[in-house]
Amino acid sequence: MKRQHGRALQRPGVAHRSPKAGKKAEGIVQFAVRCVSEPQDGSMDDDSFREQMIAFLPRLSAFALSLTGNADQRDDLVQETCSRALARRDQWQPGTRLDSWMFRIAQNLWLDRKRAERSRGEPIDIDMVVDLTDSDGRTITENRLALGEVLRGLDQLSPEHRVLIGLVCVDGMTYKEAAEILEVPLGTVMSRLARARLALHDAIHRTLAPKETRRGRPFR
Amino acid sequence: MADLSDEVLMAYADGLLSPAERVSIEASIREQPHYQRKVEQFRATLKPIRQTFDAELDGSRLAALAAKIRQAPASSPRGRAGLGIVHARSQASLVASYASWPTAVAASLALFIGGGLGWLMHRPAEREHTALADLMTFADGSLRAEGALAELLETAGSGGALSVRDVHGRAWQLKAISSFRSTADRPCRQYELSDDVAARFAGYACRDMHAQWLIQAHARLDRRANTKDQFSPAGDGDGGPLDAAIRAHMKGDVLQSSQERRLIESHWSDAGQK
Repeated sequence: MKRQHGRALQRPGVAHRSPKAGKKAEGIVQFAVRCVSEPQDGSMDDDSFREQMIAFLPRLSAFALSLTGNADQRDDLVQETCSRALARRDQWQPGTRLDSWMFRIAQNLWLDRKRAERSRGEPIDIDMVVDLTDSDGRTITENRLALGEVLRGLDQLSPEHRVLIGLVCVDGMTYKEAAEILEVPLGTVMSRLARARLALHDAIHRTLAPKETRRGRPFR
Repeated sequence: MADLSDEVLMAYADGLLSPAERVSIEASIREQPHYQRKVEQFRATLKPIRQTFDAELDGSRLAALAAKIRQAPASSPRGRAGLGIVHARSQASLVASYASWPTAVAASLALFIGGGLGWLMHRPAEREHTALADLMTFADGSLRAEGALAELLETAGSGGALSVRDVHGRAWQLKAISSFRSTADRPCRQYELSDDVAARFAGYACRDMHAQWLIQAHARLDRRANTKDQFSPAGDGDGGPLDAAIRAHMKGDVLQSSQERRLIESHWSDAGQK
């Protein structure tokens, strides 16, 4: 059996997304993907560049949350990434994907920050998980609980595994796209991603086990 | 029966195999419970995870940032655009404001205006800017070491070096030069940064009570200094402004390597004590 499959270039799981779960979000994603795709002539004026950045913000925000695990640091990372992308506008090569470039910036900023935190020995407060606002109080409460469990699970992973989960499982990048962003071979991405996902599954269920007993309800 | 790797099981769970590939492995999966478990685990970490994050895809929360992106100054060959945001809610993560960088440096180096080195009192050249902004942020009135520079100051003995590569592939070497105590009895360290072409910088930072390394002075070495193999450490130089600043700020002598090693091993825990 080959380890790399031609269809692995597809976006995993996108076809299986529940319309009910994210019809609005799906529209935003499609819009963002369309906008971030390279223009036909490979050029882009400054306004178009900015609008493409803006269209990409929801995806960048989700990716940043998967990395940082809390709302404040998510917002900081998103803003820092945008600031750096604007400042280095001339470093982006027209004809290449803006979303991949900005994911790479976000990833590097976050990894640098993690290294600095490790050297300082500062703990990350993973209990400050989310600050979502929504008109549907019930839905938001359930989402928050589930998101909290996932973020706690993510916090058990190595930074490298966390980045992969953010790119593929949260953003929906293909294995190949993730490999291009991380600048590693496709096979490496697949083996790392498989380990990361099994580790995440274990981590979520490890942290969930005592809460199931306490709350008397399973993880959704 | 073929052994199935985790990668194949993951691709199967993600629906990425061709029909022929699926058929070829489904018998194995049916007959092996541990394969079935893994397939379920892979499925549980794709669609459910993405649905959990769907709320993040509501762009309305990001309207304020979108407005800032639209209004930020246009980039130019020398003046870089930035959002001009210094975001202090989270101490661990601050936005580097490129536009305010020269102001930050100017504030830090006000003492040294007119010095003999090429002080960064002007907007730095673009290529210098790239790496420096990765290594320092200006927040709460202070210029703070970040990333690899903070790691170097915290963990490397004098003479130790770290090599980092910026997003453009340029290699930078960060080197710890010496350690000393300030007149306020804080541990301080002199450092040097150089890229793989010609840019060289030197400065010193002191560790505050919150374990942050705050940069007291930072300078670009001029062409004359660039021609030397080594930047002269504090107390051993030709009386340049950086040396003068360090001498004015230093209590006692440069720390011996044994003293420095004990401080590093204790995470600078006796900082502020005699």
